[in-house]
Amino acid sequence: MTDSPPPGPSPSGPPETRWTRHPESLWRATGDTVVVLPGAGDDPTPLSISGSAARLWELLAQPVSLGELAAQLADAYGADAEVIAADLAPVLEDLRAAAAVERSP
Amino acid sequence: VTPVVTSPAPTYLAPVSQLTRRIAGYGLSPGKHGSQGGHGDPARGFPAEPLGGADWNALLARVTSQRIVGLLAWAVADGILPTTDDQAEEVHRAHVDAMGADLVRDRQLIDLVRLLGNAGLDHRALKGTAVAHLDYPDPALRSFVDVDLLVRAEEWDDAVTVITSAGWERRFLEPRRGFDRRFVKGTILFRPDDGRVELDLHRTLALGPFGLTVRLGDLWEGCDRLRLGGVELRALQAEPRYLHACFHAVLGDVPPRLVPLRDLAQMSAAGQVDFDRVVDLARSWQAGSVLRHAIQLAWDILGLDPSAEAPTRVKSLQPAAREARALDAYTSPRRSYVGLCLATVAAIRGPGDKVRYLTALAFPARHFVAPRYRSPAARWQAAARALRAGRGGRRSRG
Repeated sequence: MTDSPPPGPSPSGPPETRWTRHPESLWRATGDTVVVLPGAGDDPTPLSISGSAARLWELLAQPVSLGELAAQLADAYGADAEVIAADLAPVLEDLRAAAAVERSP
Repeated sequence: VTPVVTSPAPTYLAPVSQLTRRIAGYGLSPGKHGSQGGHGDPARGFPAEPLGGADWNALLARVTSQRIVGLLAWAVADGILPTTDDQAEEVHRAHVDAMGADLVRDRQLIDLVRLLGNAGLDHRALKGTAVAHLDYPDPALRSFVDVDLLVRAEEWDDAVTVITSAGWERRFLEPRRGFDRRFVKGTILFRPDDGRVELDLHRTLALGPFGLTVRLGDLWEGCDRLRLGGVELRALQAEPRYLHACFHAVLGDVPPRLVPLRDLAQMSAAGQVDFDRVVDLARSWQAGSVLRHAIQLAWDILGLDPSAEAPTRVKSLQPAAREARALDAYTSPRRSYVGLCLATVAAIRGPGDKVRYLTALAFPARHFVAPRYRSPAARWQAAARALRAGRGGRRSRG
């Protein structure tokens, strides 16, 4: 189990981390599959993401927190937001490592 | 691919080639100028049941080679082309592969545009990426195999220097110094460290005579813009882009590929093209024959509505005889490099440039001959064969 922040905005404390597509990422979509060419890095290999990850890519069009992402996906798939947040955290980190998404701050 | 008819009692008797054409014309919606698409029924010409194995394999191979997998995926997703689960999965995989390859080419284009921009050089993105993003409802529908980029003729040498300095290599060197800047469509470059992407660097829109009668200034009057991967790309405006699709359709491959024909139908259906300007440009580029032939081909091959604006407008075009002769140099079954070179001479203005053109081709530098022919003698023999073929063809017509 990966540690992850609880869903929802933090009313106090440091600014909440927000995630968005890397501005240099390129992508195409077909059905529930999104093919993404990450924005930087030495490996120009496209990533193919399907199912709920494709919905995740749609949501990442605008900066969004992990909690907001989890809440939206929980709505879409009828699952528990905390469970989704725990599953999403490593996915987002992997996408960031591939330079497909970025986070701020 | 030879049309395949399974036996016994095939469920779908029409040749695979006809179905491929229906797929190439699939999903064209009516534009503001009226119906541009088929004849009302989107399922017309599609089978009612999934194809058998041999037909299916032939169809998928043909669709892939024609680079219209995106349109096939669309027809399958809409249920217009029935498939088995396995066939649908094959289409999906082929489409994902095609999109991944397109993204790699998009990235190369972006990098090249950035490179040229840093050197203060202008550009126009042509064909693939530009058309996919500007003219199609979804770029996933339009695949392509190389990167096409136009640079200004007066910046040609600088652009080639910048690009080759970044690791690209020319497929062929120019026959004589300054030849490319004056006479050629462009040159092909590739990266030795990455064989996946080829760059077609253009000075004009076609090889041969029609490339020389394009008024290059028209290509640089304004532009359409798109933003991709954080970089602004500039493309030709809609009307020169439309004419370029005509050039691509009829002056390139013989027989013509389906993608440029679809591009024409797609741009016509989108209703963003001012046909008065297209006709004016075609006249000033002495390319009325190309415009008329390309639209007739697109509408015939894709089975589109002949009462649409584009085919109606080009019917009244009366290209000059010299345009028809120039078109014949590209579309004739006797088409040859030598024949195109001779047709090009007729289009070159001024005796000085005609002599420079012929001299460069007749007596090219050694580095030009070596990659193409075994020896200078082999080159002359090939030219003589082409000339004999051309003379024989003309005699037999007379």
